[in-house]
Amino acid sequence: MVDFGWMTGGKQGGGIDSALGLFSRMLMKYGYYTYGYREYFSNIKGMHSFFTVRVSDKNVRSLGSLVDLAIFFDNESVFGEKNPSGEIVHDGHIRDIKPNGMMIVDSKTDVSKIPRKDIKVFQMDFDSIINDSAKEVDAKASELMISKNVICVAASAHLCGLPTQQIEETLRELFSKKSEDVVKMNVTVADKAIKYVDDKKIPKPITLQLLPKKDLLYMEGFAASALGKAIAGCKMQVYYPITPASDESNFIEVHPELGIRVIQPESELAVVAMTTGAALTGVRSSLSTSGPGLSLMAETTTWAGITETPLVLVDHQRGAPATGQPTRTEQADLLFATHIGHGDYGKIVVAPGSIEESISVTALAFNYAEKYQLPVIVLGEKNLSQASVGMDKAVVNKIREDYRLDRGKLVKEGGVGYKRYAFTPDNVSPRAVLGDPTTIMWATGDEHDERGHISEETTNRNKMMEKRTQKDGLILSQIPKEEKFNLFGDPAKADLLVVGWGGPSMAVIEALGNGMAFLQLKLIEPLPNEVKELLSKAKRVVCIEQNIGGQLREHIASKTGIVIQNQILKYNGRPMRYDEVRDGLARIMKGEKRVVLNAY
Amino acid sequence: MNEKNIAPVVTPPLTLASLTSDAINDWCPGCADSGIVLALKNAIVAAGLDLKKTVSISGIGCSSKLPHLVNVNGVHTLHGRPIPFAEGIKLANPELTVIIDSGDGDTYGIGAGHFVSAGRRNVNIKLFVHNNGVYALTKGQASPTLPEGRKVKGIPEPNINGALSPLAIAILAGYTFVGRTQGYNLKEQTDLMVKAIKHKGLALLDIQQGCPTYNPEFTNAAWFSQHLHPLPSDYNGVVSNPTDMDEVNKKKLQAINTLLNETTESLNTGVFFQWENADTFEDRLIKRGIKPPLTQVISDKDGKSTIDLSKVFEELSV
Repeated sequence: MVDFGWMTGGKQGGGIDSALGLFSRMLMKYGYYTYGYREYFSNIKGMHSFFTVRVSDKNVRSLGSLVDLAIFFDNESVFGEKNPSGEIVHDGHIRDIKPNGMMIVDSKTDVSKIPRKDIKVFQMDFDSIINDSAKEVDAKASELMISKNVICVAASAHLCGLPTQQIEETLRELFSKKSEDVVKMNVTVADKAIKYVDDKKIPKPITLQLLPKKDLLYMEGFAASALGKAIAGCKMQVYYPITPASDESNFIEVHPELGIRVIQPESELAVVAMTTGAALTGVRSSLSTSGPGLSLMAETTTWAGITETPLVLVDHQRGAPATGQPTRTEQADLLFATHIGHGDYGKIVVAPGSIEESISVTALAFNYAEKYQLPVIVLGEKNLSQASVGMDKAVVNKIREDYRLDRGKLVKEGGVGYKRYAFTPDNVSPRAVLGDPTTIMWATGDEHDERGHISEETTNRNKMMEKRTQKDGLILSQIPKEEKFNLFGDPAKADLLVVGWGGPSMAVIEALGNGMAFLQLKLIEPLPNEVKELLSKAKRVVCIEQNIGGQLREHIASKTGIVIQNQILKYNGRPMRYDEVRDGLARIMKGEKRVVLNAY
Repeated sequence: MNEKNIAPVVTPPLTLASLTSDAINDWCPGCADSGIVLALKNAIVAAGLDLKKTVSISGIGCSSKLPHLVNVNGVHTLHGRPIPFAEGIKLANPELTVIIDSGDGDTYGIGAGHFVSAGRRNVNIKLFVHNNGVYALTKGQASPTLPEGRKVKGIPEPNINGALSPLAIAILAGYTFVGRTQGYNLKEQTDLMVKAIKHKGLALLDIQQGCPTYNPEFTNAAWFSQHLHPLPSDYNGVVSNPTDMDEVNKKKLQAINTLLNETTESLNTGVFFQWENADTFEDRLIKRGIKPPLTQVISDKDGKSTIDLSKVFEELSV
């Protein structure tokens, strides 16, 4: 199996940001799968960002913590940075290279200060490559500074064994929307970089063979959740700018052919109210936000709850609480999502565990919302939304082909006296929408009677509360098992059952050792009954999640009475790497109860 | 599906009686809200609205119980939020006539952000604000329109906060119809409501409302007849040439000057400003080529998604 880790980095806003996409697409065109992730500060220009891509002939979906090849043109990426008081801003990447791995740094970087003897360090004169290229295309060197990312990408691709012609072709294609000058500039820079590598006889760490071309899409996580919405027939998306959720809305807005109205109002309060209003008309509408936005949306979510309005909220979680870590990842909104707002009402919380599931789970959320007439929260996270994969086009097509819109119980002939909140055996009333040609309807956030008029009568109150909060049985009996959870390995035979959810799932799957099984929950609320069954039979259980509170563990305990005894946690804002998860699982097997991961 | 079709033929003919729901009216005796709901029903009949295509929306407070009393679709939302709810409804289904009835605390206080920002969008919704200077349902605290120094029953000392000028704010924010009336004058109210409904764009109608329980001294019918006067007969707030930005600005200034010259003891009623022809948000979306959501087919007869992803695939393909 080919398994090659690559990294580059540099100051944000200096052009390096696009290196991840360039390198990934180049390798994908050469027939390989990629998995990429961006790590950056909450900053526009100047702070350190870095990009990791894992290249494989297999469909890899997680990252290890060490790479085979890293290339940096700035000193800070190599050595790290300290603030004026001497405190660490970031560590640099010397420690992130595999033993025998390779690091390429600028010719001005003092390599004697690199303390590792077990890695190969080479230097490139980035400035001379820029200057030579500038002369050739008759431009100022300053105009070409932005092409430093192309030097990194072209040199790296060359060092992976890609033919020059292939590298040039990809660059031409990727810059095809830019002017001919820009194309020429980048191709020239690439050629000079490749020549430099050859002249200096920098050895190739790997020589990748051309693989049969796959029909791949360069799929970023935020695009996946946007596509899930598009497939579901969502026609209105409302958002307020917030990292890391805005990318999803921007993606929709630059694709007007999807027919989705994107509205950006004044606040998250407006976002959720507009989305709910649109839902009342029968439009599949949605919003996209992150934790702080979801906090602001709590009250209106309770309104959707009491009025049994289908509302789909997508929360791309980030480091919390408060502003927390806007550009980092965390899974700390689970208990908030399952308890959002004041009072008791029915709701569903789901969580995709991969970029593929960001499409399918998001699309299903719209069915759940309409079928059970309640708010549905999709818990994504930065770990997913800012990751990118080479995804087989067939995967997306299959999700789309398999998907069936289910609008739930709709009223046929409402007429005079229609009861929007009619009591029914399954607690779901035939739903009308505003503008229904057969009837009018009322919706109110006050307690109400079956018509939807305010009522403070005691028996009606009891029945309405029961109607709204007792849909769990119906939901759990109707949602198919494969939409509720994924099970890897055989829990009956396993010495260790790993329980987890969301973004870390793919790393866990890769890290599973012999005698281990993994229960990846997709339906968080209501909690599938199978969880209790599996847990009560398991020999040893560990709950793995990306927060300090052990929120899934607490949720499971409150629903099943079973307290999972072992935990693997990570809350430093960085995604779980499969190798550190593997170590963590081994430590649990040796008897540790609580393992905290801290990879960069 | 264009904005001119908002008032289709009504069958059967609407009457005031058919517009009255069987929900309980629990407003205080003498509350001007009862006059406002009557005027609204009059206006719905006069404007020839289709009750199934009409949505009455409110926030929270006494006035916000109104949607329950009218036989059109009713959406009783949350404190401060009726405007974005209404915008969401209208942008999702532009065929609907969307009318908000909400209070001054709701609109100018907790919902002030939405009140201002709505002006930037000019969504074709109607905002009828029941303005009585107090938060009545919570027992009479001062609202954002109660003048500084005015003592009302629910507060121990005269009002320590100043009052907003919501009409002036609306004009500067971008509202294309701004008017004021009062809850005890059925004819003027009805006329202005019809004008607001027929106006293409965002309309604010501030309705001075009598609260006989918590602000009886300054909002009774006699006080209104003494202190509220129709705008002078030579005042014309309607922009005659909608593309003449000079005239638009002059009319805005005229309205703001008139409002600045008002005192707490002397207020005008009527249309302060009206500018037909400005693009509504719907117009802007249509110009971008994004059709109204409900006019788009989203699935076939088997429930399969009909979305065309070919362009997205083209872009993401490697």
